[in-house]
Order: sequence, then C-alpha cells, then structure tokens
Amino acid sequence: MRFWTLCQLVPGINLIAFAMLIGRKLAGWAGVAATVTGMLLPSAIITTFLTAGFGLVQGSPAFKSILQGILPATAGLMFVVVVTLGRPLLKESRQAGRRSLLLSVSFIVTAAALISFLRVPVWLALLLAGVAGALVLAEPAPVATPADQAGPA
Amino acid sequence: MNPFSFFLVFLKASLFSTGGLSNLPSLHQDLIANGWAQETDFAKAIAVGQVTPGPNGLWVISLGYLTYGYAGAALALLAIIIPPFLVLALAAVYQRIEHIQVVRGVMRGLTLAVVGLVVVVASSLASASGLEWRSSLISLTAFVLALSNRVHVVFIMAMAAGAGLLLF
Repeated sequence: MRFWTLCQLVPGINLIAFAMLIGRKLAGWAGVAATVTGMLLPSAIITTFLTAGFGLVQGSPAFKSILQGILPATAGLMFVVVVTLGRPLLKESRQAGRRSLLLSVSFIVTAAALISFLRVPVWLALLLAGVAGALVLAEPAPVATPADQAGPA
Repeated sequence: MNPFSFFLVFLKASLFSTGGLSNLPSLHQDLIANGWAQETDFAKAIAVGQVTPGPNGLWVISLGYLTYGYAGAALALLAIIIPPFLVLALAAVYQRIEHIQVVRGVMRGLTLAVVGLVVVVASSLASASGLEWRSSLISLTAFVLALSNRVHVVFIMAMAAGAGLLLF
C-alpha cells in the first residue's frame, strides 16, 4: 500500500512507478530494469505493430467508414473518463461541505476555460492548478481514530 | 520534425500527467499546434491503446508511431519511462512528506484540473467527428455502455467500427 501511495505522487503511469519500486526492492537497479522491461517491451512492440497494421488498411473506403465510427466512440469514452475521474472527487468534496464542492467545480471549470478560451498551454494550466491546490485545497491527512485502531472485540 | 523536440513534447506531457489519458490534453495541444498530428491520429491511438495489453497509457506509443514512425514510438516509450523514476527518489523521503497538507493540496488541484482538460479534449474529438445524428448516436451509445461498466471497451470499439461501416 505504501508503494502504491508513493506512485500516486509522481507523474506518469502509476504501474511503471510501482514496477520500479518492486524491482528496486527485490534486486536493486537490475530489478528496476527487469520489471520495467518485462512490463513495457512486449506491450510496446504489440502496440506499435498493431498501429502499423492500421496504416496498411487506412486507405480503404471500409477503413474510413470504420474510423468514422471509432472517432465519435472515442469521444464518448473520453467523457466517461471525465465522469470516472471527476465523480469521486466531487463526491468527496460534497461530503466535505459546500465550500469544498464549489472550489472543486471551480478548478475543473477554470482549467477547461484556460485551455479553451485563453489558449493557455496545458503545462501552465496544470502548474497553476498545483499552486492553487497547495494554497486552497491543502487539508490534513485523515487521522486514525481509536475506533479504527482497535482490533475486533 | 526534430526528434529531440518531438521527444520533449512527449516528455513534457508525461511529466505533467498522472497516467492513463491525463497526458492527452498536453499532447493534443502541442501536436496539433505544430501540425504533427490530426484529430484522427488521436482517435486511432486511443482506440489501439484500449485493445493492446499492458498498462493503461501505452496509447502514446501508438500516437508516437502515427506521428513519427518507429522512431516516434521509441521516443514516446522513452518519454513515458522517465517520469516514474522520480518515485525512487521520493521513496527515500516519503515518510517526511506524506502528511504535509501542501502535497495533498497540489495533487488534488492537479487531478481536478485534469478533469477539466479532458473535457476540452473530449469536446474537440466530438467536434472533429462532426455534430450530426450518426456520430452523436455512436458517441452517446459508447458513453452509456462504457459508463455501465458491463461492456468491455474492446467490444464497444468493435461495435463502433461496425456502426461506422453500416452508417457511413
């Protein structure tokens, strides 16, 4: 669990970070190399060749029709990502109170507005969000109560 | 296209991401602005990423290939490997920072912002596919099916492909 929590704090794909920690613990830097290679190399090769396969057929009318189906479906899936990411955050904010919910919604709307209307670079929008989060969203970590710490009766 | 600049675009996106599709907004903005990719490239890459094995986030390798061939795929792979190395440094100091409120605030701010940014990209993809009834129907159906968690994404994409063949 501690490893997984650490992985949430670093950028990039969490599973790669997790594999690095496991590899480092088991066999030092050789372990890191082994776990990362094992996790990524076969998948990367398959991904690349599958994409290349798409390239062989992309000129055909049938493929163009397929793409006209896939493109809007991808947009639909992206909106699911929005819901999946946003729902637990907003639920947590709502439980924390109206101010917290309002702040969370403001963060989401402001980030979208900065990119859409002001054409702010994404890295800058995220940097501003991180700084703003440090200023207004910082809250103490949950503290275990005696009831949490007590074992079964 | 300068390979180093290409690599830096992908590295920057990974450094400001939290895995999955969170690097999509940055890549979308930079690659489109530089004329290195089109909306359809993102749709293809995301679709491929949904069906290939491995961690969620390898779709960038597909995008790297679509935009810069095998070299692009390799550079994209390198770009997503580098940021997680920070975890090794963090592990050494974690016990001292895990309860710092600021750290939690930063992470929360970033995650909320990513939600907003993904909304923008999703809207852009929806616009690129055309705001007419066939595309809207496919998009809405994919959204409902994926949200239900009862239909695997692979089947949703297969159905979307079939719908494309039937309707277009």
